[in-house]
Amino acid sequence: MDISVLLQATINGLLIGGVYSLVAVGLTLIFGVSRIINFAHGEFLMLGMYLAYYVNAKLGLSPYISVLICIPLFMALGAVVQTVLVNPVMKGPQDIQILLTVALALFLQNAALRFFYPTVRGLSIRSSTYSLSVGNTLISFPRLAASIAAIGMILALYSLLRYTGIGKAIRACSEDREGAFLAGINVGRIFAVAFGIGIACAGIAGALIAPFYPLSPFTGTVFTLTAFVVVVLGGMGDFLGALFGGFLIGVCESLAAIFIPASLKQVVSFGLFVLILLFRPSGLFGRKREWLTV
Amino acid sequence: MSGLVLLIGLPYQDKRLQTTPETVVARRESKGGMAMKRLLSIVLLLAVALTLHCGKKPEQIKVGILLPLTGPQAITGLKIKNGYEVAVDEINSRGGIASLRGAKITLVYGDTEGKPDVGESETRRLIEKKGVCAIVGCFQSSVATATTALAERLRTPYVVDNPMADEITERGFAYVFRITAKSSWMARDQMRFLKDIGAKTGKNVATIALLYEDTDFGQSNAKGQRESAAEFGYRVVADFSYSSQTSDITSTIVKIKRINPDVILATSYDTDAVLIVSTMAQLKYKPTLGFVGSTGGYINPHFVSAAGALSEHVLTSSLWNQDLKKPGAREFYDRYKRRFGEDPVPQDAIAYAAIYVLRNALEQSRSTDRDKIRDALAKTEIRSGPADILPYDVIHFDSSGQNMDVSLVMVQIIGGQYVTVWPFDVASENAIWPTR
Repeated sequence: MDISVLLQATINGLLIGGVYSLVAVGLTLIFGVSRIINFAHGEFLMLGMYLAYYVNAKLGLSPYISVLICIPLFMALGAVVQTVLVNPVMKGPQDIQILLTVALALFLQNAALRFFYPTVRGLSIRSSTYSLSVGNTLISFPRLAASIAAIGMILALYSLLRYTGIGKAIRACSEDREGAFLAGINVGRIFAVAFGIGIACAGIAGALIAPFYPLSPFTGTVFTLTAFVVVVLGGMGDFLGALFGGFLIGVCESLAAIFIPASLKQVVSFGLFVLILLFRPSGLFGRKREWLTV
Repeated sequence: MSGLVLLIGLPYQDKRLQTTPETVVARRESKGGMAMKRLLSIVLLLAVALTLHCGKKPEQIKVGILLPLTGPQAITGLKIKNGYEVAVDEINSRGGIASLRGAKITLVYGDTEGKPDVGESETRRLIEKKGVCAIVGCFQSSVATATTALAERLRTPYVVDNPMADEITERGFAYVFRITAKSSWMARDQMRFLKDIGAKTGKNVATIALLYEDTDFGQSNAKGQRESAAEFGYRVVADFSYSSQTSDITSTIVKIKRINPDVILATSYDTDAVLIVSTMAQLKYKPTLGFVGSTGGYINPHFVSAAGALSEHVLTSSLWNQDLKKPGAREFYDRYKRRFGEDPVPQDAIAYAAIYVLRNALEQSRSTDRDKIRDALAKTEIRSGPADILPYDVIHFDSSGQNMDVSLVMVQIIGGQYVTVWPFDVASENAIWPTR
């Protein structure tokens, strides 16, 4: 296999990896703060895709503008879901929490079937098929845009968690709920905010991939599984781990599909998953703690 | 009014019919004695008498229809139901079955829910409790495989319309007749198309890339394509499977682009079909001569709306298309569209033809006896009339019950419409070839 094919696959892996990272960062944030594994994460991504689709189809706006609508909308949605559904089981056993988010995933899928119908849709804007030629390789514009926007979002979120008051409060809540509570932090509200940010990450990722990935009510499940692999790879609750894990999985799968049939490419990512669990259970950076690591 | 009477009588009627076939026969023979049961209301008696009537003087001929009317397959199931209804309404409004003194056909539906086991219990209900004289159905191969076996045991003729799995007519059954093609014939007809179009345009195919999703649908079709390609002397230069649940297919398209085959033969479901053509566009790639799909996600009108301009000039196999140059095809399309306000799917045409095949057998056998209908079905030879809307000259069955001379068609998306381009004698336009 010659070098240009490998280069093309690597570039593509990096581009799709940025999207994986954004989805995984949301998942790892929710887990790091509230110890809830959100199995409905991909479904929120699917809803983000439909938002971008309808904003484009009904209002004629670019899907990239829908990202701006997405942020407040999905943060509010996430906060409501956290307050109404997740909060009551926060102190419950983990199996109940898992059942809750799985049920939420099924509910959202079937609601989408009812309201959006099972037909596959495509959001085709003029730039959907633009590509930049660099030497022998092509860089697809919508993928590049999605990847850059995803990295931008992740960096913004990183700064928020690292340097702002609310970021500190989120980190404090994840490290020690009671301590944070005693220090005067409204713990309940912080959980809702963190959950909202996590959901918004999934929604934004959905809006960003809509110009190049067809949507259907079942699209979310495709991305949920990948996001889990990325999160475990990076260390559960490890923010930077999720960022790098996304790129790693993107490149691994893309290169693997060059050498083996594409239907087996997930053998590589799941193989990596098993190896990490066996030999480095605390994740790539080996700094897994009991709380969100930024 | 009589419908209302039946409705009121229904609970009683059902309970009554939950007896064994023997008691039903006994009761049928002592019909005169039924008048004794005056303690029940006249209304209920009427309802029972109506149902026991079937075998003797057939004023209505009950035909069982198996379809997924609920569940995830119901969208297509309900669509196909329309095809049967158009045919039955035509037959009944034109005087029913002439050789049975104008008896009308009544369809009795069984809902398979898309599941083989539910299909079996519905088949049993239709045959044993509803007393249908034949069954037509049932959209999915998995359900057809199970329900035909049961109908065979219960010695009831079964006209299989759309299910394509090869094995349905390869088990030596005597009561099973299939209208549509075996699935392995799709690959054969794709190669025939490539050969014909090459001869016509001078742009001959030498190399083929196979690209298929990795469940049974894609794998078995690719197997057929490999065998047929060898038979026709085409070289398979790429053989790639992928998961229809994939988040990205770029690497595979990059590989195919590198190999640069004359033709891509693709087998996909809905989402992946759209993903493939959009990824090809992002990589600025088109195969040298053409891109040929194998029904599935490519024949769905939503493929055209979701992929937009990228779907233009994609070719795909199909079982039927409304622009076929066949006498009744356009008429059927118009009647269907007028009645339901939407376009028929290809399965509707085959469902429609299946009812006419059964009508033909009823006319010939002059009976609602299941064995006589079976014998008449085996002798089917339809070359004209309303059933002649399918893209081949004759409907007739070989000893296995398979419609022998079925040909699939090749359609091409031209101006956002599916247009028949092969076989040439039924095509409405010339294929755009090569498409690059």
